[in-house]
Amino acid sequence: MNKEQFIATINEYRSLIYKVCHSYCPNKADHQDLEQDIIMQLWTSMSRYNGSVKMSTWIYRIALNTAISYYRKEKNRSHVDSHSFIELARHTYDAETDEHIKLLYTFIDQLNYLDKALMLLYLDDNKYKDIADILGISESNVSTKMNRIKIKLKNFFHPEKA
Amino acid sequence: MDINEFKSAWLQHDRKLTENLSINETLLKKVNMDRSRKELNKPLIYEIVSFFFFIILIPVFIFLAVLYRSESNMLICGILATVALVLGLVLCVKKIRLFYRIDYFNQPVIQLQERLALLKSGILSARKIEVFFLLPTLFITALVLMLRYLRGIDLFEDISFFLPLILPGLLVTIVGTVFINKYLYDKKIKNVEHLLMELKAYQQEV
Repeated sequence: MNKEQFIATINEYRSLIYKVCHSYCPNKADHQDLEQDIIMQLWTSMSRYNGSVKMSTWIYRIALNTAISYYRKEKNRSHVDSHSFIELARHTYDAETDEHIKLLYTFIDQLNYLDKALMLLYLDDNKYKDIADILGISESNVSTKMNRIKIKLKNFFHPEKA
Repeated sequence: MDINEFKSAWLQHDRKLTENLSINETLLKKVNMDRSRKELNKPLIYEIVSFFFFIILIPVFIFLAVLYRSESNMLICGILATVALVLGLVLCVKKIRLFYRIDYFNQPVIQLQERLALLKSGILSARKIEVFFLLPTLFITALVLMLRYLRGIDLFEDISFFLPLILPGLLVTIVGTVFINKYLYDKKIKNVEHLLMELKAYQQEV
């Protein structure tokens, strides 16, 4: 895959990369660093994509792995002067103004690093079987964990009913 | 709002993102991404270079041990250096194997995180042995043998002259390594072990 094709692939999955970065690093400087890490990792890995799984599944795996590793690194990282490869035209859409989405991101922020991945995959309409394949756990495990997350979500948005 | 409503809000969010996100092609084209490929391979390349370094040095020190077999001090130094080098080689092979077990592209997230944690734990444990035993042993034995071979100086003949030079350095190194070990390696190894336990629990929890 040459650079032009790679850029086209990144373009196609730009929202997936953005959502992973935003869920693991709401802070702008971290978001940019993580985005760079994910893109570099994807570039490094792209030549090994053999089509055995869907491209979105494959990108999810790499993006989530990079995000989890980044998230778990020791704090007080020094930020390199980075720029965004994926930019949001804020005058047309600002996720921060969408109250439900903002709350959802706040909720995701409270989850642990593995539940964050699970929630993201679920919200992106992946089937339990696909989530299980991407994460490497059983389908029943996905179902149990999702039920717990749903309860947490309910309590988060309706604490009075908890 | 229930989960399905959140899900549809999220899918709408995804649509809006796709419509409004743009990639900075100019910046992407400008970045030398091949450099990142080399950066990511650096630790593995370092281990492969070390592997060949040990392979070359082992016969050298075996040769020196055999050459000075009649001098017990030199023979012991030769044997110790060889043992340290063989140990270094074994650790190196162990680390290279851990590197090759990582498949960033086809392994599920949790399995890959586990392998990354095992690699980190392997590297940290090996580094402890390297810092505590391998480096000081190699430094002292190589110094003794090389001085004997290249300059004909036998350090054991006038050890009282060399000891004041070597001992303070050795003392500082030992105190330093104990300190580093306590506050750096042990803490990091504990963190990695904790991560491994978390991952195992996450996989098994039903």
